[in-house]
Amino acid sequence: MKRSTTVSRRRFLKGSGLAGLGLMLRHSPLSAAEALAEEPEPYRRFEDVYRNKWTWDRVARGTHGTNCAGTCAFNVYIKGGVVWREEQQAEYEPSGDDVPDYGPRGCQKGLRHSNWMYGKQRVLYPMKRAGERGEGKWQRITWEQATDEIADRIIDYSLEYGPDSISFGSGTMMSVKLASFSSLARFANIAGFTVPEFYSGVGDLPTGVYMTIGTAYTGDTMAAIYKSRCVLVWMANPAVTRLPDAHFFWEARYNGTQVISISPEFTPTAMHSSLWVNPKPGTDTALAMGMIHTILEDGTYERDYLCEQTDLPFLVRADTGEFLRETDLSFVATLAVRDNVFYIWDEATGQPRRAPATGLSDKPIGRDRRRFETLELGDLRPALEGTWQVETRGGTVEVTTVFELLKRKAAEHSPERAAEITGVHPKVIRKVARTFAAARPAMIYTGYSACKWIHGDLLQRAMLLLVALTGSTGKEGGGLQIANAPKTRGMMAFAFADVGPAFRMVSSTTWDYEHGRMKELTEKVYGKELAEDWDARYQESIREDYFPSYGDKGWKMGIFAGNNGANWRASGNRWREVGFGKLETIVAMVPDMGCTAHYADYVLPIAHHYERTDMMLQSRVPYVQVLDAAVLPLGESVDDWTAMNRLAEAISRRARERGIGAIRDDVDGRTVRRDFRSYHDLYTMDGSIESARDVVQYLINVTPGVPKMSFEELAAKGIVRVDDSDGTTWDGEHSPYHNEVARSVVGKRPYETLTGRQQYYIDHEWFLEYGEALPTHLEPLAIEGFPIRFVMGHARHGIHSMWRDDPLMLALQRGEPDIYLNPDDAAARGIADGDPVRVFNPAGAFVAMAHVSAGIQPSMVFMYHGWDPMMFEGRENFSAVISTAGLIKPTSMAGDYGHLGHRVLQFAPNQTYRDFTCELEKWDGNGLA
Amino acid sequence: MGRKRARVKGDVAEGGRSRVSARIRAAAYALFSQLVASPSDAAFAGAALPPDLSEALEQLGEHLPYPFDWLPLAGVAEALTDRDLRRIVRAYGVLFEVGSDGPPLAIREDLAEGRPAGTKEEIVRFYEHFGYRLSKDVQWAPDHLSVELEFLHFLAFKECREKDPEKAQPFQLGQVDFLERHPMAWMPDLASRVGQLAGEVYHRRLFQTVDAFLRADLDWQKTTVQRK
Ligand code: SF4
Repeated sequence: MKRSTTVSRRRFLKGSGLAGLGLMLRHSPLSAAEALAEEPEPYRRFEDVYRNKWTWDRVARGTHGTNCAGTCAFNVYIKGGVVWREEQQAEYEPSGDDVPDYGPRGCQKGLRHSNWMYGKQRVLYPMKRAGERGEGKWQRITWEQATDEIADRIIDYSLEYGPDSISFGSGTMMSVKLASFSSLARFANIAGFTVPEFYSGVGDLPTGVYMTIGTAYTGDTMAAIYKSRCVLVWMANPAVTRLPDAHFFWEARYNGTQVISISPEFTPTAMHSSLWVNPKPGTDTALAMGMIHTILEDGTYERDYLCEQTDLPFLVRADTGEFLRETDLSFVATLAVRDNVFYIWDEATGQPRRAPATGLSDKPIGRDRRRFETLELGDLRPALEGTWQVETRGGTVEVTTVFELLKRKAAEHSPERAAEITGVHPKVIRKVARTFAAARPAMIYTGYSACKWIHGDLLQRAMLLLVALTGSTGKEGGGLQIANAPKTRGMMAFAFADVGPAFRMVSSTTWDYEHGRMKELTEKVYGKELAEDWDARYQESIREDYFPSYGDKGWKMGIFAGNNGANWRASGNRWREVGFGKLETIVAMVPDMGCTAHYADYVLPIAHHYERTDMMLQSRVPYVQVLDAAVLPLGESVDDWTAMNRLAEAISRRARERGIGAIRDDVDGRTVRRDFRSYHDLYTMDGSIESARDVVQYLINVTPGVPKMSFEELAAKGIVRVDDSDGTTWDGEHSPYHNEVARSVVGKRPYETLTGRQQYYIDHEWFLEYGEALPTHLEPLAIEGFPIRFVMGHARHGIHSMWRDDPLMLALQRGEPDIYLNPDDAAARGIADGDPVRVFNPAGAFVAMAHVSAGIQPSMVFMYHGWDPMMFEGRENFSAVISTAGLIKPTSMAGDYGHLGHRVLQFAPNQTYRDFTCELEKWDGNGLA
Repeated sequence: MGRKRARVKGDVAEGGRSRVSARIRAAAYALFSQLVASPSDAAFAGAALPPDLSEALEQLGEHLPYPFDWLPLAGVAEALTDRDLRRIVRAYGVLFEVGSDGPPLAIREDLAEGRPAGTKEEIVRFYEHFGYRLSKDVQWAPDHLSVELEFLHFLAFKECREKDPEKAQPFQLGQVDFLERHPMAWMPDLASRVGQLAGEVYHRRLFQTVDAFLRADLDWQKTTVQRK
């Protein structure tokens, strides 16, 4: 508690000379005269204090700015500087005549926040480690001491090792708020820190989507679900993970839409669906291919759509398995390196003809480079089936179409064969395929789970293929729904203003691989052969410059802003030892204690959702949502803008005090001058930005799709509909979100892929070699001798680690972390419901309570994620057995192939969190080993 | 330091309730409110400084209308050095303000084990009923022990400044009820937990002393106030 009055001890004693004691208030602004002026209210017993009407001082607009993706509008009720409750702000306007409304929105975590924010987990004061790392010994220090010491370390590391020796990870715990994120990004940019890219780092980057359509961002509003005629809810569990939006599924179902749930375990979503299909874990692509086989066999695909929008009519050489290119036909083309001109077989002329809109720049730097071409076929009549002889520079070559190759690939996955792999009956596979194919439009709604499987890219490619066969991608109510994201122009304008882009963003998966001895882990768990083979590809990718190398320099310092990396990083304590633990200085900026803060050297207290000024954009919901600081930050916590402002001020002051001048920093070949003394002026734009409120106003003014108004107007409304959001898809130029797919499907502009199409065939030599040129099923990886497959999903009672330890949320579950297992598996191991279970494999072990459930298949276990290691025996959570941290699939490091190659926030290898197996036993209470 | 409890004139000496007793008790609450506040906050820095603290405790021991064992805390306070004071500041933080699983002990009633839902609301209702208001920066913690004790100081002060016994009675009843329903509902447990966890004697003695004072004060108040 900060005090403004400074009454000394002596004055107290003088005042308390007992005969003349006065009113001595330190926590109250009341003067003695004011205190005495109050007439006593009638009072006889404590019940009287309840007689006065409870009134609110203020009702503020707010939400919970974490990545629940809800951005639900809330009214926040304040009295006496305390938030007492929150209530859904039900003032969403009608969405349109033909879809349900968005409001009211909310979930139990949000409705609990006013209680939890005052909980004991809150970090209220700056803390400095007082014992060994992770020992849990802390000292409260002042902000001044904290920022001075951190500033000195930043200066020292920058001078000695360069600013890139400092890693700055801003996570989704708090920093998905726009002003918050932009402030952190601005600071990192000024200082030149290395920013690990956590989209792939958490295993969420839809690389299979990127491979196919040239962008990772594909997703419409939630209302689009209502317009679908068949939705496959695949590797997703919206009844648990998207509480404010799950109603769209059930309303659609009521409206006649088939909602088909596909998941190995019986989920709360499956419970409400028209049909539940339960493939064995990790066999989903076999199921998808079985469905593709059925649709091809039935001939129920949209031929015209495929010919125009996809590469399925493109010609492929039978001898090499590569596309027929202009370089095959013309010597001149080889000189001009025109290896991205592709061909179709034109039935009208009986000739191979150049496919429209191919031969464009193969480095898709900006969509504008493709805006003058069209996918329209004109007079061309592409053949989908057939083989032909073509004269090439090297002689006559047989060619066929990608479609023909796809038919052959699908033939390997007949429903009968798929049934053997997946355990789903062939009749069910055919039934689902036919229901899906008959639906116009058809949709697949999926989450990030697929990205977490090593071969999840193949599943995403198969999913896109399925929706393409029905011609549904790019149509309202159709397509593959994963996630869209705001155009970054607004945030980057703020982050880069007066400085230009001057920080580095790195793939955290490859950084970990190089610095965490991850090859060793793969070798230990999956064997030498796999480790050597995949490492050879990794090294080749680095050598060929497909992907950058980070091997030459380690990090000295890590700043974790709203990022609980020590919770979720695969391999648990191993990562903490070989990655995290190597950092000489760790700073956590968090509102709540968690595992990352526990292992930090400094912990800075950060304001919670109702204690800050900000705004949110979330692509599933067509509204901009405000956070209008309902109360002052608790204790000495501050919002991210203020925290960074204090640090910037300390850096500049300490540099002046220490007489330290500017340094030169090489950023990707560019020299950037960094003058510590000017950091504060730069950060505040020479004093023109004074608070988070100013940042929000800046962002409102520059962010595409956000209606222009003052922050105060926005705060009064709470929610405002974003621009260009009349329909249910993001197809407008002026919306805040990506609209590339609509531009291709509706506007006929080429996709940003090598072929300019939805590209299902990738003839990169690695894809050919690994048999992944087309979508296909590959067996998930398993660990020999460990028969139980471990599957995870997002939780209902927490958003990642946030709210996980809330007593009420715990009371709604088992009160502690639990793991779901099949009754037969439990019985075979003598495990009863409620027993502590030790889960183990060669990577490690952890303990959780057995939750025996018939909804779980034999030979698998399921666990909701987010449980913080702090809640487990030995501070080891499920990450301990995630043995996949060192798995980097070769094709995810491919490059020099049109759109393939490192592209920040689009194409980078995911950290793999699935593809492992384990064993269980009843825990004897004696340690983890 | 004398060990004898002095008797002062009038009704206090007879154990009854008076404006004098209210004044002395108000002083005690003010002192203890300061002592249990965070010493990291500038206004409370040095609250444990000798010899002032010992003197203040001695005066309370002399003038409170009931027996109050002030010596154990005064004895510790008397011997404190500047280094000890820095240690006290750190120790308070370690006990109540920082920790990997949250601080080991709750200095806010709402976080104390077993307190029912609605605790904080009732506290704020008490404050509002009697016109006690909090400064902006402490509003988030109306249930902090230091704030609760300051509220009792406020009520005792109002009692002592009220000449009309009729009008003083709401403040007296308010003190009894608030003390019983709030600080006393968790202070004994807190004092015993501090006894177990505190690494230094000062905080052990302080919380024992405050606990003993609150118990004695509540007992005395119950015998000196009549509900109509
Ligand atoms: S936590 Fe997210 S989903 Fe839940 S109410 Fe808040 S904003 Fe909505």
